[in-house]
Amino acid sequence: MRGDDTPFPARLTVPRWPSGVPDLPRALAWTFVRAGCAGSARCAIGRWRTQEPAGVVEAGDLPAGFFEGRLVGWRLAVCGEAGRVARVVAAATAAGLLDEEIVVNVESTASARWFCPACGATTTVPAGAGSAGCDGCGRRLQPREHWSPASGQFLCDAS
Amino acid sequence: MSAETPPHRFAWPFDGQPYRFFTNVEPAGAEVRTAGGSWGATVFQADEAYPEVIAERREILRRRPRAAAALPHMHAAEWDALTWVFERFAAEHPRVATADLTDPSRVRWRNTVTGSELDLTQDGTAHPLAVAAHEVAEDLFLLDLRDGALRLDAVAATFVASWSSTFSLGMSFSDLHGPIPRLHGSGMVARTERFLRALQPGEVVRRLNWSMQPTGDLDASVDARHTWPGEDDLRRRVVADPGTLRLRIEIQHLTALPATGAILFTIATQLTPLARLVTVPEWRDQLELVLSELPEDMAAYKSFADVREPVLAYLSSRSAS
Amino acid sequence: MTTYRVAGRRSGGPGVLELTLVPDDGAQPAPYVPGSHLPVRAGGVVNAYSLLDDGCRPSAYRIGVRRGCPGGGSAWLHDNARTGTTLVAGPPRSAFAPVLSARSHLLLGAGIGVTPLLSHLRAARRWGRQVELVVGSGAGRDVFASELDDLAPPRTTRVVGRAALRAAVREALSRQPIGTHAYACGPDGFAAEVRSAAADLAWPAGRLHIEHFDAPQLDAGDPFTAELGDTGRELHVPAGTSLLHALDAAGVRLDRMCERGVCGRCEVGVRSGDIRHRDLVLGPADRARGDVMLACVSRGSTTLRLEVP
Repeated sequence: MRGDDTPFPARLTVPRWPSGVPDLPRALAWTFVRAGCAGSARCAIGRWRTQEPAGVVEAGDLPAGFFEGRLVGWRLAVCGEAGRVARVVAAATAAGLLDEEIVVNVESTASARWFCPACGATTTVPAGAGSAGCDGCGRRLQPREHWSPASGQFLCDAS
Repeated sequence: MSAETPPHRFAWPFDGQPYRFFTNVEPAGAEVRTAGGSWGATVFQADEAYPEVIAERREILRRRPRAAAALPHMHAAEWDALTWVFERFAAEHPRVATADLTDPSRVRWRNTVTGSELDLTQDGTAHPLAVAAHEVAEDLFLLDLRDGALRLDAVAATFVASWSSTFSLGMSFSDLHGPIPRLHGSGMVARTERFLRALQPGEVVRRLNWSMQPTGDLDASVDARHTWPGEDDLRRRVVADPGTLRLRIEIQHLTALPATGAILFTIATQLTPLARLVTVPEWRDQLELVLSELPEDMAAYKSFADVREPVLAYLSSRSAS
Repeated sequence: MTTYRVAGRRSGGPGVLELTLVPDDGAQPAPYVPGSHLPVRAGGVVNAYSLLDDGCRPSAYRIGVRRGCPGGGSAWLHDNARTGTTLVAGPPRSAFAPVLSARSHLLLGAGIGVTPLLSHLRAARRWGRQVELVVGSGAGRDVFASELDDLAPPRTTRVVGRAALRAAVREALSRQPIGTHAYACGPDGFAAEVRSAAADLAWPAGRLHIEHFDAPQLDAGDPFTAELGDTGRELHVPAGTSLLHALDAAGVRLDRMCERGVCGRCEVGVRSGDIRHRDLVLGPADRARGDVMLACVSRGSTTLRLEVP
């Protein structure tokens, strides 16, 4: 048997954040994280606080030991700027949280994180940039439309 | 490096039909006769190129240590992979290597070609998948069922084609295949993932993949592309002499590892210039059929859309008729 | 399907039989992932039994069999399996494996449901995994008690009676560190109780794994008859034999690759008859039309008339 011959395009793996402020599902406890959250009209923290009591952490990077002592039943909700939200989500996933334990609201998109294939370094650039120098090796980077939820980075070509 | 696979053991991927993606998996281990010779009797390759390929593998791992990387929870699966790889390799190539696995938490390995004499313990071995990659010519990948999807959670790969295994660490099977045209709408990725999740220990399956490449480099990863000439240079070279274009074959093997259920994925790479392949008339004919008919999006993905015309002219000029 | 010989039989507790099986041809049994089950044909039916060891280089398969209702496969094994008895079984199937990325493992078992947890405990010991165990049994109905004594991790709760088990399970679920995965095995009622307690405590579904003693994914199927095109030839396809292999034996060779219902190569046209589709290739439209099937895994629930050259 031969495969279907319809020319389906490649499925570009760009970030797909929820479009509106998501409601919080039931949990035993919550922590809200402001990741570059500016408290604009699209900020979710206020609305989430009316739904659930929770501690609020201000962080682009989560503090060391953040996940210690948390019990199953606890959830994380992150609000803020796309590049920094992606970084928090990647850290939470690396700590063993499942997709359904993380709620995300992207309030703005101001930055993106790029992966340099030549040296492995990460470079943070303004959103929409077409190219940039790598912070690690100085090579010219151009992003592909290929994004990893595991690291919150775009793959680039280095030259 | 320019490793070249002679036609007598080249894994010819075409069968005289136009090419489309399909889930072309079959049980491993059966030798396949081709018009030029045969391939497929073993999972691991230990042919005349083996010492040279291992030397290049080790040089890349030394220069680019992140080519071998694993998420922290993968140690058990890596050890599981190491023991499976060593045992299978030694069974397939007893004159090259021996593996003593009497105690499942300890492996003793001797390789007469690389000169390795290893005495490894489960708890005392830091990166088992990287250790295995130092001894075999194949790239090694581990997929783990995590948060509802198969994910690439360990890699030890120096010879990948046009993608970045280092970038892909931790990504889901579906996401890391995102850039491939025609794969998603057709349900093929989902179907392949279902198949992989149903693999059971002891079953080993294989499939072939192919693409075109302007150079003889085994390492065609995105991670190494900055060391290559520019796209225009490469295209000019192929246009000047289309016979130098390489057909790149990946012999992929898949199995579920016995102690952890993680999926081990191995890729052996073969590269041979068209000039050598067209000496087999049947192959010349089949290649012309496939390359002339392949839709543009797939030709782009297989890396020959921008040289299709000169390559077809070349193939036609080599026709016996 | 492989033929096994019973190499040992002993009690695993009241009403529970432990059988040791070895391949009848003297081969080494295939390894299996911890938590796997073995589909065994006994008394004319196929039942899945949990394998008791960690599956790494096994010299034999050990299974635990609770005497079920009269006339069932388990009762047949209790009454008939003796050292030397031969049995037919499929390869081990893994559907209850330890999650490699779990930070900690909580094992919950009731009665005979402890059997796959023994396999998990052995694997946890091998890999140094953090594990907690909660098991319950009826009064005087301990299952595999001495093996549990040997394997029990430091955090172990063993209780008697349904109410005590329910309370112990809820208490354990309420204090697991984030990253824990829980595994539950027991009678249907127990599974429902664990599910309900986990839901109350806001456990994400992805952290809870329930072992169902279901039939294996692809059972041997019922025998059926296939008619070959216009030839008038009739082919008997016995239970446990695929249509593909039955056609081979009749000298009709279809193309093939995976023999797993995935690649689609052994597709064959069907003129009439009801098909039991078991592949992963055909879409709902193909199935509704009912004019093609994959001969490697799918079967007829009535006589099938095939488009065979």
